[in-house]
Amino acid sequence: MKRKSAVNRILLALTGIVLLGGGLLMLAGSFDLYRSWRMTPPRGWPLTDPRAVLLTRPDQTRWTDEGWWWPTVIAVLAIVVLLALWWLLAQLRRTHPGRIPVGARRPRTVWSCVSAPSATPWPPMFSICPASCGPARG
Amino acid sequence: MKRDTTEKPAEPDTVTSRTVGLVTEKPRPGPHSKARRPWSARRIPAALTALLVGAVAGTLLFDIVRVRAGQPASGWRVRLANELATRPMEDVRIQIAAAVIAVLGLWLLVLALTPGLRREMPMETPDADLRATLDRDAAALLLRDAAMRVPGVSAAKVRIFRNRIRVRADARFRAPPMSRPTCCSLSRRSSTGSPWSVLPGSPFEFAHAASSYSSTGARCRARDRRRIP
Repeated sequence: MKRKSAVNRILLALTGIVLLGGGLLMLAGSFDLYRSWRMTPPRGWPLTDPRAVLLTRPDQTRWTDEGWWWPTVIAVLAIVVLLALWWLLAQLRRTHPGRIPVGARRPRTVWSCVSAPSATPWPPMFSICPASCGPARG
Repeated sequence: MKRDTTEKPAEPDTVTSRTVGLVTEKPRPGPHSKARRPWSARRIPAALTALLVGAVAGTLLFDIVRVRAGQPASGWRVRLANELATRPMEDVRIQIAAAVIAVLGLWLLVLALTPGLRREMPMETPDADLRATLDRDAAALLLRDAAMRVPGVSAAKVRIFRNRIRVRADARFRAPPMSRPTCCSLSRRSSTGSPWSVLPGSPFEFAHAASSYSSTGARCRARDRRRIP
């Protein structure tokens, strides 16, 4: 459980950083914050002019004539799809016993579960159940 | 009430007597620091993000492969390329999209860095391999139960917040100053400022502790609604 949590959190954080960075870059460019805050972005900084477009035609077709471009794009997208699928399927697997609700709704089942002789010795944290737990009567 | 039957079961077998024996133990003095907050595995956000990323990349991949196979590009891709090439960045739609993307990224980052499971309170367990949590509703029920056992209290309402626990008790048939300290000790704010250590270990321990805490130095959040019959 810990490992899965760590993987999930790292991947979520990476996605979040990418989205947040991209969104902030676009916001800063489109509201022209660089000029109003008198900052000079470094040379080659993208999206600084609010009148420019996001992706010009020459940019869109810059590498499309190269022989390596489309195989690379297809390979990268395929890897991304496979990784996303793996990540998604990893959420469906249970690697730990899961939660055992010891609740107040059916207190009898709690006690029958505990006093079952075949069960492994239940660690005595039985006090979880609130107020209405009691021994199985009869 | 029913707890009395818990502490004296009719026919205790080995496991049950072990349980009951531990339940009736007095809490150890001092802070209980072993119970740590559980961290959520973040399965649902992870699944949603994976689904979204996979769907976007898969759709794009499908269209690229189709175009490579000699078919024309689909309409959405042509339109997207046109929009990207013609719409200036100061357009309000692009600003809205950028804001949405930034907020989504911030939200994912918050999800990744915070523990989550705020309604679950960790409990101290005798075994390091066992984790037990108590949710807020159950804790509130227990505290209400403990408050109701204070003599003179006829009704009690417990609300558990992130950092404090508020107990409102109706005191009847007794002078309010007498019942106040006990209620105060129930709603005592912990020294670390979190409710986790207000519940030191199991609720039964807490019930013991609540009836034995002194109210000196305790910050009282209990409120008497004095009703005189």
